[in-house]
Amino acid sequence: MPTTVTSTTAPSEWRDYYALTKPRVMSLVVFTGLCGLLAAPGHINPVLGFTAVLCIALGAGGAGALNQWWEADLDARMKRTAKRPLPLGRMTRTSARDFGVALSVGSVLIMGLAVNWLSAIVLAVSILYYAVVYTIWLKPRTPQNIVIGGGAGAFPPLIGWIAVTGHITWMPVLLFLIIFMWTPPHFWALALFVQSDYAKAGIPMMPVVAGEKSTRRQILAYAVILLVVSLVPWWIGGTGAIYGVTALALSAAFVALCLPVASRLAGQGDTMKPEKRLFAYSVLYLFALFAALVVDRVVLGQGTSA
Amino acid sequence: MTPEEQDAIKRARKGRNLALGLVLLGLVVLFYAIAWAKIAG
Repeated sequence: MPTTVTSTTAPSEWRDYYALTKPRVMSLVVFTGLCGLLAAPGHINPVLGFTAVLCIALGAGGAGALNQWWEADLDARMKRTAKRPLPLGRMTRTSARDFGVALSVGSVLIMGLAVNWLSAIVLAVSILYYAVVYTIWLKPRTPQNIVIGGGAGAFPPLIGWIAVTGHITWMPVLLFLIIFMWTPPHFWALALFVQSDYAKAGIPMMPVVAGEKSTRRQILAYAVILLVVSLVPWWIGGTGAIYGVTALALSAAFVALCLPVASRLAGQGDTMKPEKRLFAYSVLYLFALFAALVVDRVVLGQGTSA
Repeated sequence: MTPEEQDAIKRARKGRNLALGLVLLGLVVLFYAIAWAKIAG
């Protein structure tokens, strides 16, 4: 583990603790978690539904804090992350660790007591997966780190769904797989056009390790898999045609935007338009796809627990 | 430590305490609501 200890130069404010939870990541987590909850068959008391989404958000915040506790030295070496509270020395590393543990344990316990224990267990697994398997173990070791990290981001809709149904079926697992397949093209598109200093920090990101060409090919490969996976909920009868047709259109467009990205190489002074377009679309894609899932459920009322 | 630094520390501590107080208050309300939801369900 990293050893340099940063001394505290300024008193920590509540905002520093808030920043530890990665609020911007949390907005996507809350959205997909809520969609999983709304799309699941069955009913949940609104108060308990709110509690479930709150616990998903708090758990993600706890995992984010643990991630920053572990990576404080690494963050200090990259421009994008150098302004986080720990690299700035605004709090001690111990405070960040304890804050992360408190949020994680608290969110799992509340989820278990208020909602159900299966969703609490999956929430605990997702936190451990992000904080330990991803952050500590695999991120510094493999260029597949983004693929693995995508797993962490894929948990919220699964947890939201289980909060309602109390058991794991194919549908929530498919929602997990959709985000899992979506993450690599989403992130690598960004990695292609953002001059990042991951190399400087010693993190093996795919474009640096496998080269630009291979990364571009893999973007397309994941997009094609995503196209298929996003349609399975419809094929197995878990959703109606509203979701099915929307998913087909959205995913086809995703593949179409990946084609130019996959078939070119950036030259000197490249504006990287296709990559930027793909990245912007990928965010829209996920919001629209999950929104379609909820609309489908509300309008058609279909959705066996298949 | 200069008086300014001492002031900054006091201000930051006050802010943290206030935030923690609000969080605890929020938990009280949440647990109360959960208890009612459980009893009603």
